Amino acid sequence: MSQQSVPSLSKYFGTPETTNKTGNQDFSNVEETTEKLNSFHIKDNSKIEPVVCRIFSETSNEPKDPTAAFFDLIGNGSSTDSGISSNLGISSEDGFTPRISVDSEADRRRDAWIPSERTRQCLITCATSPLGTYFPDRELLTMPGVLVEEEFTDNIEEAVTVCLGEAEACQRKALTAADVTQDERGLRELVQAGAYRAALNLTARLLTIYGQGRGRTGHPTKHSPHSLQLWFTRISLLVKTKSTTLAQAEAEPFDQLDKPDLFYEFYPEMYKGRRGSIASFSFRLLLAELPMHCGKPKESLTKLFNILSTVRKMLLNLKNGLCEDGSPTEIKSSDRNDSIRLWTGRETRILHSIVNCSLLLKDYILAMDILGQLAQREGAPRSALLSALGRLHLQVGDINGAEACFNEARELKGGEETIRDLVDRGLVAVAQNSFNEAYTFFQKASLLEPNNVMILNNMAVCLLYGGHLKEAIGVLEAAIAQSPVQALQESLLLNLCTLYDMESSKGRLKKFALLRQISKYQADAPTQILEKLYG
Amino acid sequence: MEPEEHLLGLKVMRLTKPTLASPLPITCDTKDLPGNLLNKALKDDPTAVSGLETICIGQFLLLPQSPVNIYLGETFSSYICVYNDTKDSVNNVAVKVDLQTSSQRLPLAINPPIPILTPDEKVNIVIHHEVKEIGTHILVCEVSYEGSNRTPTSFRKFFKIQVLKPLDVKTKFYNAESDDVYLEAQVQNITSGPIFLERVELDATHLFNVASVNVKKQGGSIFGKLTMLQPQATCQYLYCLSPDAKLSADTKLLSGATNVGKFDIVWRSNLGERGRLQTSQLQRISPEYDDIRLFVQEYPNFVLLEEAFHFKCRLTNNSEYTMELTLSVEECDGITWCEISGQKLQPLSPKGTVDLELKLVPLVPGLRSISGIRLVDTFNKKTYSFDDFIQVFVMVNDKKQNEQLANVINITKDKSTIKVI
Repeated sequence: MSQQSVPSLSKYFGTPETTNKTGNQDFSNVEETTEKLNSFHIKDNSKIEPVVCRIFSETSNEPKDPTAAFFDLIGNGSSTDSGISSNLGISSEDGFTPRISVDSEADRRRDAWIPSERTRQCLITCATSPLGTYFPDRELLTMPGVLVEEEFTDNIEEAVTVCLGEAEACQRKALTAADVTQDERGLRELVQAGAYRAALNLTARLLTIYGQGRGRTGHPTKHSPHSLQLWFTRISLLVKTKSTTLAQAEAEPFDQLDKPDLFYEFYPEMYKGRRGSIASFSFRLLLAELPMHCGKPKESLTKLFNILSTVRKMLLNLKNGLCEDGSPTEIKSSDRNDSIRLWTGRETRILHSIVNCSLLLKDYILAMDILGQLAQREGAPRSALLSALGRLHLQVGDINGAEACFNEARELKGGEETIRDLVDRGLVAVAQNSFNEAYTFFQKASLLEPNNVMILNNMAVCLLYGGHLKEAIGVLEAAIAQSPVQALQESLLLNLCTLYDMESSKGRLKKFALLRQISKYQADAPTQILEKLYG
Repeated sequence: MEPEEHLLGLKVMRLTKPTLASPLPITCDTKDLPGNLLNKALKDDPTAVSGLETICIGQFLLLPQSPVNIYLGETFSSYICVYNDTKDSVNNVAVKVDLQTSSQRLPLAINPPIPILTPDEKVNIVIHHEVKEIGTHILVCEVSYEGSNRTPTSFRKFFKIQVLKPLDVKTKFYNAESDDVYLEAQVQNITSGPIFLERVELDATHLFNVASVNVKKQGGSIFGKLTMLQPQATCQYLYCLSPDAKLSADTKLLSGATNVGKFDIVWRSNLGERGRLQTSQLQRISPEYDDIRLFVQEYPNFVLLEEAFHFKCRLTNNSEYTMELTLSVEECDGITWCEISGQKLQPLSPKGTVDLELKLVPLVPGLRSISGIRLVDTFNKKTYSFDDFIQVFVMVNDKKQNEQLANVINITKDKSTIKVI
């Protein structure tokens, strides 16, 4: 593969439509980046991968997590609620588990997607034109860039400095982007530690390598699975840290991941014959969900139904003996079944998101309809879904309807008193204003799992409604002492702060103590919570 | 902080229902860069429900975080906490909680004096009160105690509560020819959130028997499994009230029966928060009955073109004297009478009835109204007209076509007997 055969990105600028004043200056930057990218190129499928990529491929060496496959195949699996992958009936040799070598069938299955007609046409032109002669319109390109100038700072440390003084702030040992290797392994380390802000800083640095860092929005660039994975991680973390405005702005160039340069066919010289979406399905789902995290659930609903319809088209294609994208390529029947299973799982996951979206829209009837549909699906965790449906009835105030669902969910479990069931019954009592009875149910559940933070929290809430403020605070504080990492969590902290506010003028000191705990155990905390603690 | 220095502090929190918290379900595949880390974080979130982490209907109770409106018919609940803010004990602590409405002052709680309130000790009071008035309410909390030198001291705190109207109920009455009364009620949700209508019932007075027209033949509400009302949305109910047998026997009594009953509505919102409203007594406009009444007994819904049909009706004399009536029929659009006009009827004594059977021939297909019945009282020369009396659907004699038309038009049967007054 020679340098000339690779289309130089500056050629996109060479078209007369682009009359950017600073264009010339940018050309040199772009050329530099292009050269960097070119130097990363895999030569004829050889195993030489760019540094960043090589580390990424090491995912496969990590011990397998039982929950992982559960989420890949959500709702598809076991009849038990535990969601352990061993029940999914897939051996470790199947294509779902990552491997070092390129498993083309597994890749094809995972990356399959039906692009829009416009994109499809563009990709056909791209494939049929001699190498290096096809340049699509600028508007068909995805040109992302990091939009924040400053790095994210440690907001806990800032809060500690303000409230408790610099001496205490110095004692804080939080992981920062500088403490880890500057690659995806380091990024994972930060995510694992919960240091989302630090991880965001690292994504910005790594994206700079791809020419998609600060100030690069609107500049043509090449996309690879790795660069798009960085973006997926970055936008996930922006949502998780509730930086939703920024998440929306940075995600905007990706739109719905339907531009031609986000498909393998766009880079024939790089990914010979490989087809499908370079961006992962998780990224696609995240982008569809994004508006609802930013207070625009209606927009999300349209986008979610859009991807749902594509997934359903793909499943139909598979069932009709075609490939996912509708091409008549031969697939082995076992591969076809795996593919159907994977995409049915993804379909379920989209339906879950639609339920969540309709809840935000307060369209409870839609949410109930879809939950009902989900419960009818083959292999669905029916009992868990009925329990969720019951809670939805409870949420809208239909206590009888809720009880009917809970009873059915319990019967499916053979009438066994599970924690979930006890808690659900406690919630019914809450809806009936019987907080004492609710407390008894939660207490029973707590005996089965004494460290369950949710149950302890619910007990505390019942104590408050029963007029026992002091005891309620005691239960929450004990929960934090028992499992600080889990319990120092947004909703529990909101509850505890509310109780502290009620208690006395000493609430402020108690909040500072809470901040001290957060500083000790958490790498990151939502700003909203920290502001509550400032009092 | 208190503007005046007091040994005790007082805080009030409104106890609306908690909500169910959920995590932010961000997941990824094993092959994605974060591997299983995002999924693991989700699984470890205490607000996630094990086994169904990606659905945001949690089990984790979250205390109300923002003020919620209170509506007429709901229960106002509050937590009142009086705490000792000093390092010494405080004696004889008493707390009194009242609710001042625009018309009255309601005592909600009186806490008998607590001899000694040690530091860090609290007086906890939870009050519940069903609000029965719209407008501004003021929660008055009065705390009295003995200060350090045993001097009785007290302070009061006020909390303003605005009680809003939750529902708008509009009613309309229709008096049917058959003496039944149809009541149409529109229940509009004017709260800020969606509500679930748990019960909408018409408690009728003993004068009428109620049948709800809001249930399907096979059972179940016409509104689906749940009657959910989004803000500003309206649900329309229809009831059929049949007068008691004694009542229908006497038109005087019947027209005097104006009290129909009242609505009893129970709604729920977040996590079972309950509200209940009863409307005032609903009054119908009583029908006026003429001296004679012509009441349809039997008539066909569907008739065939150019084929004669009959309908039966009953004539009642409501007046105090014997009537001598002449029955004549006038031209009617699309349909022609097959009767002798101007025939004299038998004298009709007061309260007496006579059954008539009339014959017509339809000339034009479609929905036709029968008009043109004239009854003339020969004694005082008064004419009673009956126009648009009933409707029939005239069909062409083609079996197939008729069946189709019959399906389309089935509904007219029920409606045609109702006459708006």
